[in-house]
Amino acid sequence: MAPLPRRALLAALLPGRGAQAATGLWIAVLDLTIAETLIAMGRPPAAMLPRPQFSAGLDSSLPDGATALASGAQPNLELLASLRPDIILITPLMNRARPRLARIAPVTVIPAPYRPGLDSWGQMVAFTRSVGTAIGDTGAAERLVADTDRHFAVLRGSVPAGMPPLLVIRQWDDRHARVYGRNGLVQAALDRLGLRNAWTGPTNAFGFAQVGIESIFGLEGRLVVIDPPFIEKPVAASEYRMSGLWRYMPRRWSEEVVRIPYVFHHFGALNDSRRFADALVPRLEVAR
Amino acid sequence: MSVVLPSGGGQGARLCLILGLLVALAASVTLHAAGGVAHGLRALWAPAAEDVPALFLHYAWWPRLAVSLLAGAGLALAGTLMQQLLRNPLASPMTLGVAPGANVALMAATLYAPAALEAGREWIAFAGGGLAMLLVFAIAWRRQLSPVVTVLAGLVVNLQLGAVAVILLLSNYEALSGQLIWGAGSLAQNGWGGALYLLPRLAIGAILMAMLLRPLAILEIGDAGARSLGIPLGPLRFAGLGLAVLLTGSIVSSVGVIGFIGLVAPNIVRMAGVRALPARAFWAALLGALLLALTDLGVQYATGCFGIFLTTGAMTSLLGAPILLWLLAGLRPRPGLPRAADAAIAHRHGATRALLGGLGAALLAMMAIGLALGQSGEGWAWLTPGSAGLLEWRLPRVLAAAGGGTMLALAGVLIQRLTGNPMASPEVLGISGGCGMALLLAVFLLPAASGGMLVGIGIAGAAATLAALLLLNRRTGFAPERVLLTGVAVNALFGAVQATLLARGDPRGQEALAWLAGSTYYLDAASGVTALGLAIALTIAAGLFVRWLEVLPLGATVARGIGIPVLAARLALLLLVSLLTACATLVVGPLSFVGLLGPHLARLLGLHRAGQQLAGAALAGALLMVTSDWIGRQILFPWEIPAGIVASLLGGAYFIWGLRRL
Repeated sequence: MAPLPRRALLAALLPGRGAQAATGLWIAVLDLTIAETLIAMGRPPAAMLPRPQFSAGLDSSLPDGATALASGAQPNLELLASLRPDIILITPLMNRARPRLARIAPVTVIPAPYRPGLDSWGQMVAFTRSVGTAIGDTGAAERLVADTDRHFAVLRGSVPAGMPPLLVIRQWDDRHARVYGRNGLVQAALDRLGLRNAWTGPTNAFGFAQVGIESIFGLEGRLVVIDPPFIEKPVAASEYRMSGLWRYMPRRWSEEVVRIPYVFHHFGALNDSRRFADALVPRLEVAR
Repeated sequence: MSVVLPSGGGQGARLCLILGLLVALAASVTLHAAGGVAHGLRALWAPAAEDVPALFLHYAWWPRLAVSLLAGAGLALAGTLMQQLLRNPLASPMTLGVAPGANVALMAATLYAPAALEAGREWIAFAGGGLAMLLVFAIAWRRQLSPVVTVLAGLVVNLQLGAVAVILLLSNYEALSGQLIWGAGSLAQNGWGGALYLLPRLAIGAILMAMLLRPLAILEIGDAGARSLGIPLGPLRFAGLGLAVLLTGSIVSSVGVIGFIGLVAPNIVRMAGVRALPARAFWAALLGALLLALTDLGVQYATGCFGIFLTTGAMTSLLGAPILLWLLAGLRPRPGLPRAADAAIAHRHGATRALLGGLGAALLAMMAIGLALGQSGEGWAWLTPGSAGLLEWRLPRVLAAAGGGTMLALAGVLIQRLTGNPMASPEVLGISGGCGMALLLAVFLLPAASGGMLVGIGIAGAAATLAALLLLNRRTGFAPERVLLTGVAVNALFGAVQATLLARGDPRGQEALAWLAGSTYYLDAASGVTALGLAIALTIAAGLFVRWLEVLPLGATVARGIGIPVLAARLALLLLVSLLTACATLVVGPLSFVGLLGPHLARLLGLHRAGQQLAGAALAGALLMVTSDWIGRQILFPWEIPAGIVASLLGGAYFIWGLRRL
């Protein structure tokens, strides 16, 4: 079977296939972090899970011409098979589906972007490089790493001096929150920016912990709240619901609450830590 | 109203005293660590503004203790009410759809009206729970809210709303993962708002309940007797169930799902030998309050020590389940649990053969459609010789769906006939729960586990559960009620493990959830063929037991009278049920509820005799599952909805229609 004429035919039949056909490799990606990394490398996949549309700050849910493989843990196999990708990239999270996927195309498992006990930034860089190796384009990976490094160096210069430790949370209701810490993108970005994290407690393999409000009551620092998704206009910091324990926090946390919009994939790699940092740093300046 | 200390509660009093002392001990240990008991008591009333530990005690610790006591008492009261009204020891405050109704309302608000949440989550939750309850009442209204119909309506509404919640979760997992904390019941408090929200509602509930106690107690002599004494059954049930929902709704809306207290506290009190309803209500409330408070203090202690986020609702089940098992093992069988007579759900079908033939033909047709018709990137298309490659993806799923549906429905018929309880199903028996628990833990703890390993782990989980069931029930001769309660305990454990893992908000939860929802996604051709082959073999095996199945629902005495070895028969049927359930769980997940719906579908079609019901349920179960799998693959293409979810929605809709028609 000669693959090229079929490809050309399909590319002609299906709009948007031309771009991928030109670069030679049809990549199907079943993980959002890998997909974001590929897009940031300038090698968008031909098929991927669409990004959730949480906030106006994110780009459209798919790169031009890419096919949506449905979201969640179970991308559509019939559709994936009909696209005849050259390679399929997954993370260990999809291991269970690997035997089925391997019937479609060779599967490369990219190790998770952070692992407990290891430096998260180094892990994210290694993750980016393995994505580059998997698609046979280490140059693009190195460019992304260097580019992100440079960008963070610039951002670090504009971080106000003498910042107290930051407590980055996503609030679920007025009693529970997710706090971001070790083994994750937020911690890696804070380290890179020369900022301290107020949460030094345990986190899971994705760099966060679910906590009841009492667990963060005693902490010293400044609160950074990631707005919930689907909110069109962020609530002003002064309208932030403050009752019970929350009322006593700002007094201890010398300054006002910093709010940042939901503009990054919380379990992403270099590109998403950059989005987080881009959202955070200017607001530190303003709030000051 | 005067509540004189109810009599006849010797055992209950002793239990509550012990628990009360434990609560006091645990509380004083915490206070001691936080600066002394006296300081802690002062912090309850007047914390100094700059005293951080005192502020913490005043705004977080004391309110939390108060809420745990209030919620525990309220849930136990609601449970006592429900069990009395519905005459089913498995009824609990969560039976009437309140919790899932509130859950779906909160999820929908998060996704589609986030601004509404700012106005107060409690109100949205309460409204959702209330609507779900009204739906249950609307379904059961024509039958005067009779126990069987109400319980079934509640179960189905629970399933339907649960299915909707899973669909929302699967497509918006990250946005909704905070909601999973609510689902696991967290008692964390932020000031006294929660306690002040609960207190007046529970006080009103308790007063109303005291007023209802006398007519409720008369219900124990049965419908006919109560009617002859001039008790208006319909209004009484409406008032009683409404009250149970008020209590449950208040608690669920403020702290989330705490399931086990309302089920286990009334059962413990009854097993401890407390008979009269007022005494049972009183001691159950006290026991519930203390149980929940003690659990919560333990949870706070564990969170402080190990830094892991545990929620009290889930831990209640984790601790309550062994208590229930221990009670089951230690107590003599209690004669005469009121048996739910369901002769009312009956209209016989004349042409059974034609009906079964029709079902079979429909199944074959649906399997053909499942294989041949589907969507691709370019729209709908029939299978052609050129696209035969698609069979590689479709065949395993169609076969496995048919096999899984058959096995679950058969298991459902067997267990319902064995126990004479229409709420029984393989899911309720806990075997799929045990299997699911093992698989869930494997997914989280052994991320690299291969498919084969998972199958082995699943079988081991099912076998361990079965062994526990057999060991714990050996002494009571596998009395059906005991077996069911054992299953409830195992499921509570499963639920606790699931809720705890999901409440961590870990992205892996999404995959686990999809599988739990009953998905044929991961299957290859070999497992599909195996599933269907097993289903056929086990159907034939089940056919051998028709005579036993005909007689066993009439009770052990009758069965013994006509020469059936009751103990052996129960053991054999239990083994068969376990085998069917374990096989089905491995292919379609533990929570498809075809095992609950299949037997009832057959009965609604008019198939009543054991043989007919077996055949009808097997065909209906397979048809339901194959149809659901196909719809789940097509309706939101390329998004997939797990077959078990669609089956719950479809089967449930038919079920509601059938119940209304009565």
